[in-house]
Amino acid sequence: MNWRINRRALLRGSGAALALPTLECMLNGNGTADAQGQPIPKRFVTWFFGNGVLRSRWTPSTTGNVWSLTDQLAPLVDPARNIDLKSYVSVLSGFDVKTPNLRAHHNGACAILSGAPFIPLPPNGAPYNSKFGVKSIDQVAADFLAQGTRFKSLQLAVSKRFTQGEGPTLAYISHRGPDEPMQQEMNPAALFNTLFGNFTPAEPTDPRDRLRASVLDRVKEDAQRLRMKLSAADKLRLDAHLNGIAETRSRILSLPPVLTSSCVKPTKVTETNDDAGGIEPIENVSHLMSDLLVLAFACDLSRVASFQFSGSVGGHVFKWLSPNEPRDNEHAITHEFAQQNKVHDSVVFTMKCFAYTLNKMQKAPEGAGNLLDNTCVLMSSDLAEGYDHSNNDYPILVAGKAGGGLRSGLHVRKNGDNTSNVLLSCLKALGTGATSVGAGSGASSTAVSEILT
Amino acid sequence: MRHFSFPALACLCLVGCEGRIAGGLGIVGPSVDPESQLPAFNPGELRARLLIQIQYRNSIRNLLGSAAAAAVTPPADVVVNGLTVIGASQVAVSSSSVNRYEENAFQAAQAALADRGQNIIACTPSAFGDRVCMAQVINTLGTKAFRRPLSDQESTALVDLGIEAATAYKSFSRGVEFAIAALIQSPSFLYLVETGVDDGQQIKIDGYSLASKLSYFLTNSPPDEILFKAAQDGTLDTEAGLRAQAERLSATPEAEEAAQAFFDEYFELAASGNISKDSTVFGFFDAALAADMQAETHQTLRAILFGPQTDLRDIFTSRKTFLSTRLAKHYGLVQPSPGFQAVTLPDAHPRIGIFTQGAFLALRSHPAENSPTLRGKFVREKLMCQPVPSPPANVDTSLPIPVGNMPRTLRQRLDMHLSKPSCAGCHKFMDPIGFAFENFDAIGRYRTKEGDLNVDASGTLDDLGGFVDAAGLMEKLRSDPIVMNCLTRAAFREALGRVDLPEEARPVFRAQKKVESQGYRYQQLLVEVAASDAFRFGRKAP
Repeated sequence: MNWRINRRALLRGSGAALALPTLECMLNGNGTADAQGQPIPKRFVTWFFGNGVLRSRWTPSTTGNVWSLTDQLAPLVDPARNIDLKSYVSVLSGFDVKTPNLRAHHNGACAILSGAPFIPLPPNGAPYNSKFGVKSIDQVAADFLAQGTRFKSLQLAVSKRFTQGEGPTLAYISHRGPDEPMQQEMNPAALFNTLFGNFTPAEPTDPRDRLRASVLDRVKEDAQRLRMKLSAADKLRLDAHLNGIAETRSRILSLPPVLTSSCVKPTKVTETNDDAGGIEPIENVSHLMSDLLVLAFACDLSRVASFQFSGSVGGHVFKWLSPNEPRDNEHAITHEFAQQNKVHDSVVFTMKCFAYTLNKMQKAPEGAGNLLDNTCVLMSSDLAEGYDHSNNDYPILVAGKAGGGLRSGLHVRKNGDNTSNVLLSCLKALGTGATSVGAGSGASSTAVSEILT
Repeated sequence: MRHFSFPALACLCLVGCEGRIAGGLGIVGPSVDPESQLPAFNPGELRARLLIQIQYRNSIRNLLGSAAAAAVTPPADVVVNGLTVIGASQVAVSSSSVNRYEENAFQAAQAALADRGQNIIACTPSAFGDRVCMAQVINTLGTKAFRRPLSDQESTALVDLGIEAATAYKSFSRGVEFAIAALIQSPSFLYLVETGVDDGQQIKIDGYSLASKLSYFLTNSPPDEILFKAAQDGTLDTEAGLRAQAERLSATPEAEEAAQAFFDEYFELAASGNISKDSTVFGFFDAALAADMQAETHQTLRAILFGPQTDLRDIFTSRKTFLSTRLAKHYGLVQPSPGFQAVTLPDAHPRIGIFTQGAFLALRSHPAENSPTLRGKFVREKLMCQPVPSPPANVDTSLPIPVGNMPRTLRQRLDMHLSKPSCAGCHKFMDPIGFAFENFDAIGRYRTKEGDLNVDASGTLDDLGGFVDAAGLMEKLRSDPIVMNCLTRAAFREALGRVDLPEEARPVFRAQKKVESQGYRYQQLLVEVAASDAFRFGRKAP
């Protein structure tokens, strides 16, 4: 692997302008922009888990900037693990999903990730299925933030037991459109290879990458010829394919990342996320995925990611939380009144893993601050509470400072405001210029002013 | 069955209760021609279909050999309506998948040239820039890759590319590598696009398109030489010609593989191989046992679907199974010789058909406990094609805690829960079927007691009446025309890459009747689907 320390003027070959990694020594005096006046990039993450929380043990009792961590938010501060995130996280409570709850899980997942209702796929005798109605929020952000980074967005997942039998809505959290679900990477070793493994820059005399680009040009011509024969719906699918060809082409021609104190040469990752004794290695994989995500951001390989910790109606089993008694899968136990203490333990465990992701960002220096200063993380679930399948008083956290766009460390409580307002706030904080988000009864043009600077 | 609180279930009841007349199609009346009561036939819209993982790998093998097939890791499939082929005709590929195809293309090309370069480059290039030889290599590979002859434009573009790379590396073989990489990244390789003659009403799908459609449906592989020739010479343009090829292909080992892959998806058996159970309750249940259970069901299915003179309804009632020593012991049977052995159970044995085998029973259970609901839901959705609504919001699905420490079976607790009207609406639709499997625990062991209490496995199936145990339910499912209609529809979905339409009920009905009248052969079902108008004709999508 050849890691270059100098910032090279530009890319090899031709094509769109590519984002270049930032070296700290090239930053301006106040650390908000580099010496050429290029601002430090803003990043966005959706961090998602299945089956909701217990609001009575989640929501802080006071609002504003004087609030205390509840049982379920407690992992955000943990001196033993050197974690202190309270001032970086805002709790948003009292928001309701406004899209019609035609099918629990489907509705919440789609609304909190896109601001729009889902599209039911007529089952006609087949099992219930649905798909997203519009692009998910991470993809809206990616259209603005990516700026030619090697990966327009990353889709990561930890638990493999997400639901595949009910269509794209429950299986995926990132969607470029109703028929464009973005498959998630669940294997840390494979993610490592995608991000860093094939980083063997060709010798200047080796025509390989130029020829790979030529191959893609031929493939593009084939696709365009085929496109003319297709129906409108298939044309859209082939357009997505053509976008993928263009992204792959510019990736091949882009330069390797530049080392900084945060963008360091990674140690090879070998974890493949296989079960051990029937148990998923959730904590380890979640940590590794977080490590790789932070490195991908620090090296500016990508600026947008979705992180599916666990799936909607997920069949994940946190057996290690009940080593001495039977424990059903997480979706099943949320339905049972007598099991709500176990649900609580699951939420706390999930929050510990979330805190790890945030802490890793906060500990990565960037400019005058850290990566979390320049990131917005939207954290939520497919339901408010699994037990009652509710879509009101939704559990939402917004973490990070979005390069100065977000005020953090607050508890903002509303009385039934649209959850999509939070999505719009993230887009505004990231400087996307968005003035509205979502569609149908989920649409919003009102941001949560309290968390915006 | 008449007291559902949900309108949707009231509709299902009509199908369930009255639909058994006339082949499970909901037609009432003794003297009418059942087919004439169905909606007039109108073919479905044609959609481009992406090769699913297994089809991609088989296509690479067919084109470039086993080393190339082993070198690729195609992107994950997307499941819609329970089938990956439906996902493959609806969703678009994401950019990460395109990236994966790009990497795979070079991995496959390099592995193929290292392994069998002399077969691929059959001519001897006079120099690294030999256009004639390059064209020969590309046209041979291209026709197989695109499953039709290349156009001059396509051929020239690929030859140019090959020569460009050959010149850059001063190596003919490197030139071929880049040309192969372009071929197998092309949408003409990755998608099946059906074309044909449009008479304004419908499209008669052409021979090359039918060859691919048939071949991927029956074998998950591209057309072989015989089929390709049948496309070339017009044989596939007639129903008889297509039927003959379908009969030939449905008897191949590849068709057996494809059928197993289909049932892995449709019955969700793929997950049974790595199922896990709660270690506090079933500490000894491990991956090896789960794998044996999956192998048992796979082998039983294949023997029934592809054995000589077998009846596909034997999946419900066969007494023949395949057991390893470990699995036999788990079931409380003796199987002295090592390895998987064919075993015929006695007539009165409680195990009957594939749904009393460990794979199904363990899969349709919770980690620590049985689930009559999940088992009943499977029968409704997958065997009877009757979708089940999800639980309404705001219900506690936990089962009542027995009062005064009086022990209760799972069934008794579920029965108490059925006394709640909000639950009963749906659960009455599933649980009475699922109770049939209560003689089997969450890891597929036979039992007559749950703790100290006797197990009650009796139940009812709509208007078909009561049964006392799983064997009784299986006999009813075996002879239920609704089930036969559902399995026929499932085969059509797999063939067409979409959910069947109401306007296709006539070809479905015709295929079903033909199979019913000629011994319920699974291979014949595949042939009837392929020879149907729904398969041979299409409609232009807007």
